[in-house]
Amino acid sequence: MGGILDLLINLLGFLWSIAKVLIPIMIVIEIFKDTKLIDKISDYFNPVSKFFTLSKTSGISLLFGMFFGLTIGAGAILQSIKDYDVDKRSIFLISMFLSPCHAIFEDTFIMWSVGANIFPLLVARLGSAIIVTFILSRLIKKEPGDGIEVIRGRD
Amino acid sequence: MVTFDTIKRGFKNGIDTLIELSKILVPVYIAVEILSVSGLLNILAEFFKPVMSILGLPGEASLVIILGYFLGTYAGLGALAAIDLNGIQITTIAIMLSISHSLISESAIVKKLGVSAGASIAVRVSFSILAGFLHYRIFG
Repeated sequence: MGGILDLLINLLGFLWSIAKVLIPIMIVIEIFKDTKLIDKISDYFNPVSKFFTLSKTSGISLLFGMFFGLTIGAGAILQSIKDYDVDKRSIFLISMFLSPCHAIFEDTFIMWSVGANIFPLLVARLGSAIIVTFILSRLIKKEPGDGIEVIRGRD
Repeated sequence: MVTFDTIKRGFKNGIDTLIELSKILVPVYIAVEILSVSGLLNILAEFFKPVMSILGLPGEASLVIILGYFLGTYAGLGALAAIDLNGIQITTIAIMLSISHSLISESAIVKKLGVSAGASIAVRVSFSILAGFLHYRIFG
């Protein structure tokens, strides 16, 4: 029975570790939206979105995932799918970028703490993500309608 | 305008998303625990041993990589602490695990977005090994 109790405690701790990042991020996203800050940040991020031929509103999900982790990035993407019509191609490309390169603060700090050299680490992760996403973005053709987004009303 | 409603909406979105993700995270977490307790994970570790020498790593390091790939970075680092490695080897492992870790649970998250989990795993594992190999060749 002790093993099952341990498992439950670990599981709750695991979910809590996600909740304590996810909920504040969601609040920050709502504040960004209501202050129109998200439009400004998206504008700054436009060259990157353009380079990877992503749709305009989806680039911010890439940014969130890169800094706060895949779970948070996926959460942001799920939320942006509810708010906007994000095309499948952009979601695929963002997923391919975030797969090798996410949570770069947290992961890098952990690796540094065990004695790894973080410079090659960051170069390897960012390099992998950029190469994969760039190649795939040039291989996968845009379909008509991709990148055109209809902003949905809030329910 | 930021109002109390803004905060409330964000909080609700956070809870909703957490519930959505938990539907995957909880079963996967339990499944991986069973895989670990049953000893199947150890058999896998033994199988991948020969590959390690290509990366300039000792055989024992396979356990670190396997644990990291399947269970996550923390599990991998727990094993890392138990074996003797030099600085270059630690960085090689750090690069490999940073690119590719928690494949089971994170692929489930990717799948949740309607994206192929296979594509995500293929990208991560191939770049993980490639980057680890390059690091060993350049600095090792």
